[in-house]
Amino acid sequence: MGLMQQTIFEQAVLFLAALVVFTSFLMLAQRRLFPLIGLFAWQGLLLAATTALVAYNRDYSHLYISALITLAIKTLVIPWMLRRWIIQLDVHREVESLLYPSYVMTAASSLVLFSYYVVLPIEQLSALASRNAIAVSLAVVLLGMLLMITRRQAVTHVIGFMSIENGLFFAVSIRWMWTN
Amino acid sequence: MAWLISFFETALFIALAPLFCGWVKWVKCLLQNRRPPSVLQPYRDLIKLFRKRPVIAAEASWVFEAAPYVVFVTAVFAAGIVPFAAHHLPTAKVADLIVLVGFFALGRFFLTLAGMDLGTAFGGMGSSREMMIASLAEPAMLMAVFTLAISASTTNLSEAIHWVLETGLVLRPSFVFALGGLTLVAIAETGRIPVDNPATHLELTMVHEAMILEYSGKYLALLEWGSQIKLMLYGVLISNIFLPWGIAEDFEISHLGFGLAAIVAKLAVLGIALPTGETLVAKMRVFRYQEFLGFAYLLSLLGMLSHVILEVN
Repeated sequence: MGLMQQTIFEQAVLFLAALVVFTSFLMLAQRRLFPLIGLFAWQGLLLAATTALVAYNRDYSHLYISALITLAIKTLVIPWMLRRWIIQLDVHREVESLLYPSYVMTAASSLVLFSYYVVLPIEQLSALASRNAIAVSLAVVLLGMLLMITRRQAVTHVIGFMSIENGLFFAVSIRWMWTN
Repeated sequence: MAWLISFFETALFIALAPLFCGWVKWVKCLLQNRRPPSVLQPYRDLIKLFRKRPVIAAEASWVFEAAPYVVFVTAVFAAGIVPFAAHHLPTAKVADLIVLVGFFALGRFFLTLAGMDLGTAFGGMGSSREMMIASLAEPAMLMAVFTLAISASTTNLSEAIHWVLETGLVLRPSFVFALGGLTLVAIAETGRIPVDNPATHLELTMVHEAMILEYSGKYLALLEWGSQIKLMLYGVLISNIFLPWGIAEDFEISHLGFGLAAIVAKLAVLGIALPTGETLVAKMRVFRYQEFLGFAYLLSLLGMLSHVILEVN
């Protein structure tokens, strides 16, 4: 099933999935803390948008609540709290030195490929598109792990952990799109 | 008939390139609160340079004299490959996207040779920087091109455009990433801010200007014209690959006219977007080019990955 046979909503969901992975990549490349939190907030916003889109398309009212909670917590409350902590801890001027940024990027893209091949044999899932979406969310989980491994600061670790959680949440909400 | 239209189209492309450059300059001047020169100013500059007698250093070898012709001719050939107002043209059918990248590389190779030919410090510095940018930009460009080629299962530009038109409006994440990557590569390759400043002769920052510093007269005119064609080539490439709607499918006069109007409109919009971007950002340090072009490569790679993962079965 190629992209052209799908409805515009399914295309939009897959498009948002690609953007979520893109924000994960940007987080890996970002050295400063405030822009990193901004990227995390953007990822939360994309997540909320995806959930709301699925809710609208499949007419699941309970997913609207989930989207609203995501929007409130992940794009507003958590970034705001992290921001306050950073200012209190007085680390907002620190720039983390990335060791071998190009190696990290190569590792990140191979992790994306790896997650694709891990998900490939799962034939039980109903539709192919949903399998691809699962691959994307697994990639987001692994990229969050990579973010935690390659950095030293505690705040970055927190953000990496949250982005792992984002990946899991994304898998759950995107599954509703292709289940009957 | 098709060949005739093809030649006419390429000639029109070459003739319009200075106008596009003038339009970009005009918009940029307005954005920076300066009084803009006429959009025809690049034509006047070219005519002035063609009339002047070139001065060539005594140490110059044949490479120095041959390079402007090679740069210009490769730019013209590249302009012949890229569909402008119509596709299904015979010149577009004989060569594909990889040849296009090859033409760019050939022109750049001779330009860097010419920069080093006289042994001046600036020429060598500009050449080495140009080579650094090229070695980083070319993989990103090829990756973006391959994303398109895999989607359309052809490397021929004209057939790829036909495929995009046929499938209609589909939200393709891979194309958006490839568009981003190709835009960054285009900015780097045509020497615009933040990579290079086309309007400066400041010693420490120039790349393109450093290489052509020793040229004068008709040689300089050919090089300038070549780089103007290259700027427009990237504009046409980006707008015709990713938004090909309006391009003429056959050779009826009304369709050709509409195709021409469409591409001129697209270029006019691009000619506003480019100087707006240039006004908003500051020029980068040379050592940060690698990050900029690494980002371009990452975008193209993500385009490829999202095509493999999300778009095919």
